[in-house]
Amino acid sequence: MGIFQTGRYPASIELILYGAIACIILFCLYVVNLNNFLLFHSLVEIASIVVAFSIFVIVWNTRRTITSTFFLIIGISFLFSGTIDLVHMLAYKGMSVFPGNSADLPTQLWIAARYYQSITFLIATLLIRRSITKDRKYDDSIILVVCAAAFCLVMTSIFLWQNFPCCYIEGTGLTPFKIASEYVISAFLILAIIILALRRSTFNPVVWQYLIAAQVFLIVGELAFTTYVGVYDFMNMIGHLAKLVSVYFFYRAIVVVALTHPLDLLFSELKEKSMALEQSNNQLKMLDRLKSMFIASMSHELRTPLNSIIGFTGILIKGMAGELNAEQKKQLGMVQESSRHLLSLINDVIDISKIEAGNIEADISQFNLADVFREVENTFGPTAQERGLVLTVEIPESITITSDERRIKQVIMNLVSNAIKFTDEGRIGLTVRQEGMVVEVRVSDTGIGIGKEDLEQLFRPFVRVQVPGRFTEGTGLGLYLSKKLVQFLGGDITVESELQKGSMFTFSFLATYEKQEDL
Amino acid sequence: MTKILVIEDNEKNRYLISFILRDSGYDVIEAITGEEGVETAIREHVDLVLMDIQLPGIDGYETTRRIRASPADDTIPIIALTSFAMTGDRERALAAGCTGYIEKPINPDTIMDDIQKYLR
Amino acid sequence: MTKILVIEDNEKNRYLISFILRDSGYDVIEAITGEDGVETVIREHPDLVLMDIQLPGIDGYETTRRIRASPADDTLPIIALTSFAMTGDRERALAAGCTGYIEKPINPDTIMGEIQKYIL
Repeated sequence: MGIFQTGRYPASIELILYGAIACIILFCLYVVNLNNFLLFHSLVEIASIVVAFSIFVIVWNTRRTITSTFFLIIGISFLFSGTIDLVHMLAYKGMSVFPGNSADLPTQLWIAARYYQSITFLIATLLIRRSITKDRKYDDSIILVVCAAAFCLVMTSIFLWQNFPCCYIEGTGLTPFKIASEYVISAFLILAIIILALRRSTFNPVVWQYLIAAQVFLIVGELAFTTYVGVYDFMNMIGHLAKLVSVYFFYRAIVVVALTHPLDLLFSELKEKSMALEQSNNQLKMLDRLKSMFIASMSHELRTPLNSIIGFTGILIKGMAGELNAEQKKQLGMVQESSRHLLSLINDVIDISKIEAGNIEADISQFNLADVFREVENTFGPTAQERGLVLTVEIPESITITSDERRIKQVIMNLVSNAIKFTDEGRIGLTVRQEGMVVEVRVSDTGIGIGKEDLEQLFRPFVRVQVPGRFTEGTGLGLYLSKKLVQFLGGDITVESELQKGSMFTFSFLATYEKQEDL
Repeated sequence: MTKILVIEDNEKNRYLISFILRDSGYDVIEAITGEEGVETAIREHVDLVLMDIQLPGIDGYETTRRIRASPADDTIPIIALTSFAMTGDRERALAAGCTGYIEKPINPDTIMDDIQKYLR
Repeated sequence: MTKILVIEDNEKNRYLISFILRDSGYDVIEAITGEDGVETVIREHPDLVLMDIQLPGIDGYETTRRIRASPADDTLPIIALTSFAMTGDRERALAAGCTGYIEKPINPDTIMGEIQKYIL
């Protein structure tokens, strides 16, 4: 964005528009100047003063969000340099406000105002990125007080003590002091420009351009003011116009900083912070990927040796590699049981790692719950019979489910297996009921039951119900995993139990899987 | 006699599957890598392919794709042996052209039934 | 004949250790809980105790302490069978009064060598 552009219209149009308006205004003023210099002067000064006061109002009201000592000083000083210019305008030859009708007073006031402005500007550039008090807490007040004091000193010097140097002598024109002052003031401004150029990086580029332009026009004005003889002279008019343009550029700079980019400084911090955030976000994503890769590879690695163990013991037991004696069969049987146990442990642990890592994804397919029930009956029927129990599976007609078949089967098998483990006599029942979108599966037994204290801990990980005298193989993960899986599938699991009477586990899930937000 | 190609890089697993298959009366040819498997499938005209997904070099999915793309019979049943480590393994196998899949670790009691389903 | 007391609640592990010991010619008595074990030590005066740390009821450390506190011979070797799941398991075993420890899962090839060190 260039120096004239606000960004709302295409750049070229803005440039032309602004250029046109500027020319029109300047031309009008020129015409006025030709007819009535006093009117011209008053208009130009009023314009400058209004803008100067606006700058102060803006800066003062946004002094908390403008975290820049530089702009604070410039903004606040404009109240006072503007006031001096106001008095200068009122004191102009022909205004008949102040007694004496001399051209010296307005000239003194002019010089005073320009000194005031250039010195405060220079000080402002020296305090770029610095604060006067800790955390800039009282900076605005201090600046206000110092500016006010300087203002009072100057005005007192001009009006009360009358010891401000003479600037204009009627008939002769400008005094050496006045002319020298213009150069001194220009020198201050050039110095300020140099410092600004060195500190270019601390400014928003557009703002910086405005500031430089403002300075340049001020200097142009000052130099013009070294040449006029009469206060109604052409160069005088040029000088005033240059000052008007300069004040306008200050205005643009302040407006950009205070109103449209008040948090310019904070923005750069924000940018750093958001970049840091993005970086840590990427790191987290990478860690997540590594975690799931780790779990997947662990899953594979841990299962690989089991291929041999389960496989070869199976072959040996079946006598495929030769006839075995009873003792050999018995021992291999124990190996087989242990390896199956190990496999289910690995599966549980991998599942839990996936759940805890938030890595678990549902493997959705359409299936008939009746088939699952049939499979459960086939798997556990013989085991139940061996223990002298009756396994009653109420196979439903046909329930079509769109969900994770494998995990639902896992939960049912976990519950039925537990029921068989903890029941010595009687029956185990597996039933299902569907109400709308919710499917409820129930596993009940006439087993030893679960005590109140144990009931509370039942679904916690690694909690195993210790029944004295009864050794059960388990990890304490089965029910914890079942609960997590069921919740993942949109339902929950509950238990009712009474010691020595039996237990009833009920779990529910959605007939059509819907992704859950939080696990 | 029915010829079955077993593509598996793990020595023990290969021995295990081949043993069970031969015990059931099948003729077994073995390959250790995917590339070797594709060549053998074309050369030997097997009746069924049993293939591990995790292979060095090209994996099981790529091997399946190449077999399907080759002059070998499109109706050859290709059964993937997979440990279902990641979600979507099932879909990937089918998408690559596998006829079916068997989960690892294999169950010596049921493996023959699972395989014979595909040998109709 | 040397009498060895095996205190282990896991049925398969108990069978395994007893089998190996008997095969090496030792007389084996079995106990399923820590309490059972303490009673048996006092009653039977075994020459060595092989004891799992993970027991239902009182654990292996407590069992050892009670055996040491009992009228039983203070020189009775008590060997802990531990899976070293937690750091400090080793120290705890020795602090409780164990003469030594053997790591689980036991190695059928070396277990007899390790046990015989304690039977002098």
